Amino acid sequence: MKILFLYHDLMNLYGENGNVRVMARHIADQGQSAEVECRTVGDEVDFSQYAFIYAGSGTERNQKKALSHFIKYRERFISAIQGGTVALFTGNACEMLGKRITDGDGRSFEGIGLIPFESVESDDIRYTGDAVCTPLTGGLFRPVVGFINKCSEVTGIEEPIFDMQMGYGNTNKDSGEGFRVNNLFGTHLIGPLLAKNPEFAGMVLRLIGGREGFTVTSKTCEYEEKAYEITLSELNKRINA
Amino acid sequence: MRTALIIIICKLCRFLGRLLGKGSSLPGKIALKLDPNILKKVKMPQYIVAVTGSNGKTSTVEMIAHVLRQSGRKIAYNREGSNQIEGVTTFILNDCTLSGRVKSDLILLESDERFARFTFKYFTPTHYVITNLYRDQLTRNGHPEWIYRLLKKSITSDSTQLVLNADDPLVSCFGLGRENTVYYGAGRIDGDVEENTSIYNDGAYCPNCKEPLKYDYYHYNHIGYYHCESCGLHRERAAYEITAADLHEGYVTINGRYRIDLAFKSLYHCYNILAAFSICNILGVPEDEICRTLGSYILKSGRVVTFTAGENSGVLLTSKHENSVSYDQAIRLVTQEKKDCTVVVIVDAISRKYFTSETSWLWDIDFELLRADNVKRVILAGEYCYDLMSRFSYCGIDKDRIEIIRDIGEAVQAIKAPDAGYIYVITCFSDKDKFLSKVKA
Ligand SMILES: [Zn+2]
Repeated sequence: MKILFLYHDLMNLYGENGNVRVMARHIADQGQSAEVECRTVGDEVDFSQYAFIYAGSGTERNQKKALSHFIKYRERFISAIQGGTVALFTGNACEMLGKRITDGDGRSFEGIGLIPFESVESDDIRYTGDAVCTPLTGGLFRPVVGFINKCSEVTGIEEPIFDMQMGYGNTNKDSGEGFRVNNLFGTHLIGPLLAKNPEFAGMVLRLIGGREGFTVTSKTCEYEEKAYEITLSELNKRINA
Repeated sequence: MRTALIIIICKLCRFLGRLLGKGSSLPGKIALKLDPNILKKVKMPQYIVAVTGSNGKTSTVEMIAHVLRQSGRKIAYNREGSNQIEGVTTFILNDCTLSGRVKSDLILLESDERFARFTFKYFTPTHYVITNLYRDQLTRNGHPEWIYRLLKKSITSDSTQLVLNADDPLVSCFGLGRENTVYYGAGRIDGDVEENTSIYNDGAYCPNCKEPLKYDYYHYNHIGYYHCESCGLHRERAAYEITAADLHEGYVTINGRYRIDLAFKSLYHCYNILAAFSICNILGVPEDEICRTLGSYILKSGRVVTFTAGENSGVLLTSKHENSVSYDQAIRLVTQEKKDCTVVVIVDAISRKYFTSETSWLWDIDFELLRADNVKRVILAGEYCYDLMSRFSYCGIDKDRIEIIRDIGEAVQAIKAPDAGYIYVITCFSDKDKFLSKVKA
């Protein structure tokens, strides 16, 4: 099967290549073959042929560059997601899926409109910080850990997938974070989320398995588990301090 | 309040602060409270030189200070590393006469990328050296383009002469539409590559127009010889150019004539030398004199510490956590020297200044290079050893060669083994003393 690393050269700002590597490894560990394809602006993309689609964070300008290409494929992408394709959009890649992004100079960019939310970027404020989130979506039971690094606020998401115990939510004021459409997960958490959260990786893997016709058997991420435990306990110390 | 009085108060506070071992920002803070425009009332010297950038500014500033002092100039510089406005105010007022005139011939400032725009509201540098913009401490800095915008706000006057690294496309953008800019860079040298093999490429797109950027060659990461076919951005002609670099012999040649021997055989360090060479020559120090002064100069802020552990000797290469280029630099040195060795990587406290558990940056580092034959063993240590291990499990290094030892003391015991070979330790300022205190440094 094939994994798509979308805008690998524009939207890979915080070590997010890790997500693709982790998922390819997990699929291989199930005795399946997984090939990673990188596609970027200027390339033709057929979203219907992938078992998993991933996009990560970029600079605000790189995100607009990627969006100018992505928008041409909006129908094909939306129909893949409606058909149940498994996808993960982390960092500001998730903003491309909304209705509109307004940049720090007030310029407006049309999003692909998978769901109707809006993102407004600030010219000089960045929201950064470690994150601990209680999952609100099925299949996840343990807190998700990570980091938020963005300059935008997102409004119009009715069913967030995380309740932030630490870190910024979709807007500054509420604790709801991220969204889900079928098997697509969008979150402003940055970085190699699937390496940091083995449970999340396992859930994504089972969704892929369900569609590609393989049953997930063994667990193979002992180091990720230990790293997760340490990070969660360090962050919990901060929450309780 | 009278300027003289504020200067006296500031000096007094600094004196008392030093007795009590306090930092250098409080006296400046008090002075700014008494008169927010105090720095505008001070008579500045003929030259104010500022140095900023992601990597290498401390080393560069130290070398500039050394050369200028050797050439007989009287300089004031913020060597305490207090590069925010309060610290800058302290050190400038401390160097003033009571009539409000700076005594030194020249002020040399190491400027923080995020705070320079506040400092340069009060006075304007005559020369502004910008070394590079890398992914650095992104938990605070956002990303390099974000820092670019903040830095751009600190360039407030056309009279400031910019001294820019021509080989960093984002840095070279500061010179667009400006006159009075001097560039430095490296020409084609040994070790250049035509493909970027790093994990990420921040030079993939033109920082000016976002169309694909073309490189003739890369020196490392996104540093190289580039041009944009769309908007015409290109690697500028460098007034100061490394025309040869021999990292085995350990020397660089600038402008085909001026040879400087290296105390630290790394191309990254050559750029710091080149930056120092450029600005000192611009300020009137003759080339030959700079070569003599910088030749094999050992940095006081040196990042390389040799040590012995049991019978084994080794070197600690100080890198910066949250800075993949800095780590890549250390890793390249390990593979370039080709000694049979054990490599220890320690990530314990990610920063000494603030708390974070953020380890995403580990996935931007070329740890894959440690597959080299001379690396016999890898030890991963510190609180975040399992984050390191999950990253290392993707490097293609044989698992039998990797050991996880969370406790740094136990890691030190392990490298005393007779078969450990030469030891390279790669870690950050925030963690290095935890190691060095347990070996003979
Ligand atoms: Zn261009």
